[in-house]
Amino acid sequence: MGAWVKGSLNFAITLPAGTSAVEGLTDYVPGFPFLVESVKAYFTVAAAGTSASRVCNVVRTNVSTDYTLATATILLADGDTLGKEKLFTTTPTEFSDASKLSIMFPSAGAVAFTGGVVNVCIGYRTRVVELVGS
Amino acid sequence: MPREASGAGWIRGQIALYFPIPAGTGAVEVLTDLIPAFKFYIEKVTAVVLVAATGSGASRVCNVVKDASTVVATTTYVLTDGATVGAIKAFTVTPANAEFLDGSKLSVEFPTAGAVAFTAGSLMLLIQYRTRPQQL
Repeated sequence: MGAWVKGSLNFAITLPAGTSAVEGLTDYVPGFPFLVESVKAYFTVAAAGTSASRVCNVVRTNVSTDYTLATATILLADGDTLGKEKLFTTTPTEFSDASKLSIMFPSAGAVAFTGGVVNVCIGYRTRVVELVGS
Repeated sequence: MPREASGAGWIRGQIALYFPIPAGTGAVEVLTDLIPAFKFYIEKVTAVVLVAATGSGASRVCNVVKDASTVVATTTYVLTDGATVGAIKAFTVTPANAEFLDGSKLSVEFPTAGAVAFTAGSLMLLIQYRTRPQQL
């Protein structure tokens, strides 16, 4: 096995208007094995919406049951300043070549945002690999 | 060019770009001549809907281009592709064109051919690559 290398997957996600369930990213397949170590969101557009609150889940969706590997409740105050960081509660989780990645906002407990964009940064570690046939 | 260790293996990485789908039908480059400045191979390109698209019958070709005109990846992005926030669309990658060197330039373009205008929408483009560990 090779050494470990750290990296980051970055996804721009618009905070959903309204209170219904929304997926900001649906079944993206990174296509290589890695282990998620951390998830953080950084505001690139300031949040708006009176008392706004949305749960945001990072989910591995390749198995029969979705597995929530990181979660945060994003509040209006979290996004009052550009660049502000919101830390997700993260369970270190392995991804395989075929694993799918989704970012979900469930409806439970939702109070609507009317503006705001976050850059979701998923920190991972992966091994240096040889390709089959290379 | 930094040296590559023999048999050092591969590492995957990602370049993420955010841009609006251009309005109108003119040729637009949303990224022009970025030089990542290291050697890598593009393996996969995926567009994710960030803001839902509008525009009756809208359709734009989107190309990821190396240097002046070498198309590395392409797709025809249509209105239904952009209907739902979070939905993904895979580009077709040409592996023979996918090697970038230290001086290679990366652009993302919407040519005019076959264009039917979008009136709204924005995308996140995920360019996934593989590269080797290097010795500076």
